[in-house]
Amino acid sequence: MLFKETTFHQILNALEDLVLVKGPKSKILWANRAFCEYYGMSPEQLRGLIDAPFNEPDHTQKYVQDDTKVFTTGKALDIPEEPVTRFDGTVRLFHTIKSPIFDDKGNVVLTVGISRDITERKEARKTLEDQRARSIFSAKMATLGEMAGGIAHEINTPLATIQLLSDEILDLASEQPVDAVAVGMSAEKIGSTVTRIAKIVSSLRAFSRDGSQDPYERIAVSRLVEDTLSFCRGQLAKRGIEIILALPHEELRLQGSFTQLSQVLLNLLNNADSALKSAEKKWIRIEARDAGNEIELCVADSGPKIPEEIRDQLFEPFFTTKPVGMGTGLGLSIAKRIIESHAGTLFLDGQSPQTRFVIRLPKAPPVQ
Amino acid sequence: MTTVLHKKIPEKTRVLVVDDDPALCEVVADAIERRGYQVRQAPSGNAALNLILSEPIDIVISDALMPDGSGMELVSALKTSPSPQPPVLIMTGYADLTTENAIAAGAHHVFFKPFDAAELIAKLDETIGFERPPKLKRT
Repeated sequence: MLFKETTFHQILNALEDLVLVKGPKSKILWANRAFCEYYGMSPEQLRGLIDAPFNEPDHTQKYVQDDTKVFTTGKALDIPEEPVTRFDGTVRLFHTIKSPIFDDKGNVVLTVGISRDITERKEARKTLEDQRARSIFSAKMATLGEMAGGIAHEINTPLATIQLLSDEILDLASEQPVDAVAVGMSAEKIGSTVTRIAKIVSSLRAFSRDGSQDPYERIAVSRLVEDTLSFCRGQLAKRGIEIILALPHEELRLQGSFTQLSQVLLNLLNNADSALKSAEKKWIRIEARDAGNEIELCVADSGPKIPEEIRDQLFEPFFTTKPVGMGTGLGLSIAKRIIESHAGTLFLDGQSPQTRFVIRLPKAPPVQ
Repeated sequence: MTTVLHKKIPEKTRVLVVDDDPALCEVVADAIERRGYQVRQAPSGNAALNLILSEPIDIVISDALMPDGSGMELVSALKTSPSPQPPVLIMTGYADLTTENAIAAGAHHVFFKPFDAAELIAKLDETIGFERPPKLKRT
């Protein structure tokens, strides 16, 4: 024998993980130092107990069920997350593996549970996820900031129409007799112009909300494209950019967060817009196709191609070719992160004669 | 710079309204027409330029940014054109076009959307040198 029995005890007592050995009917036989310290009890005090009295009865009941399962199946049980109460009443989370120990005949005689405290790791992961959600949200707000001038124009033009129509009504009202038909027509035009502004504002509101907590939904690709275009189409047209849509007749459906995917698409459109500033021919082509298990959504533009030497940096945070104050350099890095969180890929198509970004996303599962 | 300031009678003054937004183009034209001016409309800078070259236009009110020839492009095209050079009043919804820059480039005035009919007519009257009796001015 390599070690004495006391050496094995010393080894188990040196572990930071909690080790608990139980016999039949969940009766505690032995606990290592870490476990005893956590429960604030000595091995002698623990022996024979099922659990300490300060633990939640629900938790205790769950441990007993798990022990029974290991005893009856003879298989180890992996419990990714379980709450355990400390002697002082604080509850921490543990990852526990309960394994059976057999006698010579192959019967389960003991169970040994090894529990690792994952409370901090879990909190750190949560903080990281929160930070990611926040950075996606800030990037979206930055995109909106870049677009603010254009959106102001989209709204100021119909506002001017409304102002002039209301001036027209005041004029008509001051005449005798009042031309009721003309007043009615102007009022009707005000109504339809208000609807036009309301549409822009409502798509802005939908876009600007933080959708990071939204459950994934089934999304028709055509609606994703149309809704995203609804608040930049006007600006693009103003700059003489032709939008070419190549969407298939049959509806393609994705599974995901609408606001986040719309953010990615808008980001690609915004980049294309910037790239077309000095281009002679100006078009943006949005293309969707069925690629087997995936859907491919591409945004190509007629602007100058992205130079070979910067292609590797495109998706790096803070990398931008836009002038200071015009771009954060976060757009594509966040876009890539969003697509990857949807189990998809986002890349620049190096083979295309144009600047062409490709999004590949898994198809939504068929409706049951 | 301009050749039309001697025209003091609205009825004989031809105003060209240029905007790619048909709704706004029409209400601006209506407001001007109600004040007695003759009005033509065009949907783009290039269409406006063709019209100016083919028929007498005394004053232009044009949107700044349009797909087919912007208002500012129209201003610079007219500057170098041997044809009549009517004053161009620019309308814009963007904050990044300043009055100083637009005037330095040759525009006569800038209206920031949204503007009202009183402001529009007052500037139009002033540009052609027409003084309207006070009773017509609305507050």
